[in-house]
Amino acid sequence: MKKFLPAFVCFCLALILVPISIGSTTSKINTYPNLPAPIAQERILITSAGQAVEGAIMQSIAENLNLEADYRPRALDTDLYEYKSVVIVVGYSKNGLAQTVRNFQEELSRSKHLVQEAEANGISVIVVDFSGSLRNDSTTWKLLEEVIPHCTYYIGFSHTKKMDKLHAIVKEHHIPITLIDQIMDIEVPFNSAYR
Amino acid sequence: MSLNDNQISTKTLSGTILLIIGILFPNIVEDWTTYIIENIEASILLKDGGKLVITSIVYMTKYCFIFFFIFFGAILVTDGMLVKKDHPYRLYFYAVLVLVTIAIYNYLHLENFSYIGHLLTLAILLCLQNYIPKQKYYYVIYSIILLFVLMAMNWVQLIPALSVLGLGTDDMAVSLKITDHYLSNNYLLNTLASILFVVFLVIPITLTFLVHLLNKQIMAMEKIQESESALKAARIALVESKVYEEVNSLVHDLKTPLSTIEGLSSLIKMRLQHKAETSIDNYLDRMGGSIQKMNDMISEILYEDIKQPISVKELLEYVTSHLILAEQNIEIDISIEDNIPNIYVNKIRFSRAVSNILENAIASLAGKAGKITVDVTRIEESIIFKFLDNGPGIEASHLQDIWEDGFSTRNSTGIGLSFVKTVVENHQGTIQVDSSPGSYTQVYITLPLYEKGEKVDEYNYLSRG
Repeated sequence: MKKFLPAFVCFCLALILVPISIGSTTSKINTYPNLPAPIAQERILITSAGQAVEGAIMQSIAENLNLEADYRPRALDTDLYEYKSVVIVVGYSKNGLAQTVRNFQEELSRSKHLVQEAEANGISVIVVDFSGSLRNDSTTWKLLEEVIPHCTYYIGFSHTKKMDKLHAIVKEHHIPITLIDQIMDIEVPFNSAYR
Repeated sequence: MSLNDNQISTKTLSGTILLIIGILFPNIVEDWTTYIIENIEASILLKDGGKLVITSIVYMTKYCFIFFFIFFGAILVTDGMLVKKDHPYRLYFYAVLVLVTIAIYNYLHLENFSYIGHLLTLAILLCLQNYIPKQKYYYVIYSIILLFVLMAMNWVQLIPALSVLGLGTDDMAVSLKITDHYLSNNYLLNTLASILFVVFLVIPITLTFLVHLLNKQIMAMEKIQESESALKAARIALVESKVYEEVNSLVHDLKTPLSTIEGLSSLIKMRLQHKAETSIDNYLDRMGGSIQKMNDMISEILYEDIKQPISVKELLEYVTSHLILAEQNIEIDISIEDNIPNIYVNKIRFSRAVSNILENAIASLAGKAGKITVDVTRIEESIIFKFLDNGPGIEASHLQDIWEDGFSTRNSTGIGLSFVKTVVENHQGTIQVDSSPGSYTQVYITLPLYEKGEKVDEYNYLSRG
């Protein structure tokens, strides 16, 4: 049996790490199933904060809803002049960012300037987080912390590890929030923001 | 540096190179990354599940390469550093080396790979390693098993249902799983990745099991062969010992008629003392010499393990006194260094060996006049016998064969030099032959110096008449 000890040790270590990965949350948040009245107008700029592929999903959903939207993952604050609302899909992807010429700090700065400019010009900002517990790294949270305070509406997943933190941010900035279980569930609340 | 040390340093070096390649592989295949990202986006926009499957295969291939280099490099470094394949800490060292390399990989590439997947991969590999025979093709078998285990574990990273356990947290896997969530509500990857995980896990387990069984069978067959060989050797030894006993008994019995011949020969000589029969007297002397030689040979067979210290001069006198030079014009020049210590030999066997060399030299002269020089010197802790004759010499092509049993250029039995070599080696000595065809032949015998205190046989059996 001694010869199986190293394998057993590795297996036990993996088991120990599982509860850490699962995490837990106790916070209860009051959410909207969908907004009672529209808060934004077309034409929509869909962009990404973190360059994850989820931006493309948002573009596909906008198409499904027949919303007039452009998907420009690397859009700058200077590109806002032709749009009446901005949808920022948050999610840090190291490989996605590697396809651009920017580093993370520059991406963070781009996202920050974009939402600040939109806020200054009265353009509605909808923050969408499709990654939920899958991208719960510190970099994604840095992006969320940067854009959520300037947004008009937040749509995210109900299964996320740092729900307390999210709750605190949206409560502090009085931002309406809708939490979904499946990606396709976003269609109703997202549509309600426009119609 | 010995051959073994070279193999060790080669293993460590190649292992380290593989580890470095593994760590830097994402930089080498940046195009693959671009392909994966572009295809994920295309599969979303086109709502194409097939494209997502192809992209998943590319993802699996890319990370199979990366982790193959890391895991295989680590085993080479481990074996290079710990040398013994059954070292008690070998597997621990291997596991730590893999995890440290993956930590470096994560630090450099920020891909957020979870350690759970790697720990499970290690657990499976370490378990299977116990059954991989550590023989000739160990690394080939290990690499095949490793490849399949990595394929299985890379598909696990893509099972969305296991994300909750912390599996598949790396950027690419997350992108693929989110896309699958959108396209098929995770139905596609949950099914496909689970099936492929099971298939790719069953293959290495079955392969390891088969290799283990095959190795067991081979080992059992080898054991049977060894037992058969041992049994055969024992049978031969038994037969040989019986033959040896019979020969020994026969040789011992020869002593009695020989003593009779010797006694009668002496009696004839006494009876002829007063007659002027010089030729018969001469024949009787030669007969007596031959009887003495036969007696010595019998003693040699009966007491072949007995060694004694003897002076070189005494030994050479004994040898030359038995040489028959009959009518040949051969000069034997013996030169012995002053104060040369005694040698520790079986007098009869060693004398026969020396005698064989001299007889060969004499025979090579083929009745012509010639000179044989015997030179004995001490060099450091050895005594060197040098026999030089000016005979026709030995062809260079024959020099390697002269030690073989049955080799002869004179239609003799061909066991002379083979016997000489055996005798010299039994005395912990060495023998060399150097010859120039048409010019000379030189034989060197080197014997270790006799040290006082070595076992000495009190009784010189050879002096028995």
